[in-house]
Amino acid sequence: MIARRELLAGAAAAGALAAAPAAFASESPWGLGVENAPVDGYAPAAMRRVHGRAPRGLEGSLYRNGPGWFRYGASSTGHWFDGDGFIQRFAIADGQARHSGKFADTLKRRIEQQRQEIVFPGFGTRGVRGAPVQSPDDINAANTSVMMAGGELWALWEGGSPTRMNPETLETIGIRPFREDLAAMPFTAHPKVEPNGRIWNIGAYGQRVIIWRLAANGVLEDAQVIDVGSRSYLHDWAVTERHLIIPLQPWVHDRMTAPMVDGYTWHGDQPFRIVVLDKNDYSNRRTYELPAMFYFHTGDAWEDSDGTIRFDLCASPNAHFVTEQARTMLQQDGGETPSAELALAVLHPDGRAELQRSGIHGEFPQTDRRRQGLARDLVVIANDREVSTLGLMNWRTGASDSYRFGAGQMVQEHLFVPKPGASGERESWLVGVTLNERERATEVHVFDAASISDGSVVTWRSRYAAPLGFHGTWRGA
Amino acid sequence: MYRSIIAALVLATVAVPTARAQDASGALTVQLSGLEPQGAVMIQIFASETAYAAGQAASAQRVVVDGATEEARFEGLAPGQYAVRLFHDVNGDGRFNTNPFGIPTEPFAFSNNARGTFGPASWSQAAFALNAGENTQAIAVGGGQ
Repeated sequence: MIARRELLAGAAAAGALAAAPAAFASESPWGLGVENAPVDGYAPAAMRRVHGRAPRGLEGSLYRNGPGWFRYGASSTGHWFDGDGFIQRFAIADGQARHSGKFADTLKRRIEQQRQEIVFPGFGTRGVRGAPVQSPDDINAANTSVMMAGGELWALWEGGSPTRMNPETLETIGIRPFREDLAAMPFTAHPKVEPNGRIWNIGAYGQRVIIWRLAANGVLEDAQVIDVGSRSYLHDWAVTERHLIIPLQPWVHDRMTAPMVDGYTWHGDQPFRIVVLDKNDYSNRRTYELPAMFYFHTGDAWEDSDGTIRFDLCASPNAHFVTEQARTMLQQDGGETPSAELALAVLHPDGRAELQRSGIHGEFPQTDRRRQGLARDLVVIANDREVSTLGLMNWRTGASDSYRFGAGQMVQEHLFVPKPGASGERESWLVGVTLNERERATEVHVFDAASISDGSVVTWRSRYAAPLGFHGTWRGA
Repeated sequence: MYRSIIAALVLATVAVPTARAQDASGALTVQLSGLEPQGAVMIQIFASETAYAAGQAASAQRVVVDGATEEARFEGLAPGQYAVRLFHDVNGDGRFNTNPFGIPTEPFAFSNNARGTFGPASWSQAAFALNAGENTQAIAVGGGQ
């Protein structure tokens, strides 16, 4: 982050900020990444190839979602997580890349655009007094991830329904409940899709969790509510072939207050509990314990023939990033939180649990989605802070590979994209995005998973800096 | 957080006989819009803050929904402060339905088109002056969505 600050200071000295939007004077070290995107988004536009050549056979679209609107003049969201969902598409075909982007047309956004102020309460936003909220979907920002289901692109939030969109035009279709009596139930931004297409997801409310099971076309198969016994912050989870894994961290919502994030308390003296459910019988449960830690994201999970369960996650010592930095980054430099460390949680059949640390740091872990719930070696993470690095860990060999982008590149999530006709994990591309602050531009990169330290195979650059995103999905042509 | 509104809308759906018509009485026409043409709208009117908080309706009506707009008329009301609250019983089961986490799944609304934050509108948001003669409240059900 020091490098980023210096870069900004240098740019200011050179007068480069004169042409920047006024809000950039907020001096957030996250700068360009948390500025409002254009109100109408970005029309499809060719990106410029700045490095390498497009590999043969790479055809499809990377869709990404993240907060893209943060303020109306002095009226600002109180937390990075509360910006309006901005869906970006990087369409790769015929050796070229095109970028486009559009806001999810949510009720929250329509009313706030009309009133030209932040109206609604959110995760870390207080909202105006008397804000008209009758349902969680009234404040649904549709800003966290995207998935394909039934030919639609779903913009996912965490506390409410998916927002359905047209994957070609990025036009919003709207919210449609899975079943009338399940309207406005939470559906996290981390659904798990089995290799056969079946979709699993959860949603938390207090200490109750709904477990969703959908067919590959997005139609509801089953929904059940269970009590997990803790009001832990639950952003992501994991699934094996036979089990559902719900990690319960000791960051607990124990006070009803506004904004919501202020109602959580870090209980560092309490364990990190992991509830494991049988996919066929949710009453068949086991609970494991690890020392206290904070996490946002898991990679994926699998189990050995002896019943040992393994899942990767990005672990932090506490909740400082979400309680402090993700709010202050919108206004000023809120100090630096070290990146999470990639680790592998191992749950033994005898009830013991252990955490194997990788020594490499980052977030947004991704695995080969063809192997969802199955044994695999690789997980890729992005380090957007200290060292602007993409890292690839091999759990089987214990070796890691990395590529260092260098200062001024905010490295975002990279996805495994299978090479045509190939089935191995390493026979994949890694496709992801960086925000190049030096060039004030968003870039999309393609790496070969077998050799990421060689650098990207191809890089394209847009003519503008789009907001940072959280998560994405790849849709093959 | 939704418990209060559920209680408010489920209780006291039985109509209390309207006050006897008097010379200086008022009539209230509730004009409803934005309806899905199915089920019925359950409307209650309240004559004081205390009654509103206690769910003791001065009068109540059930209006079958055949179109996007409907009307209900209450007569013989003493002039004063009133509030209206209603829900659209879309599936016609006579209940204000909620999802498994207790969040309403059927539209609800209040006079002045008041909307609460994660709950019912307050009396001060929903209250209006009812005068002798004709009075109208136009309420968009599920308004804004």
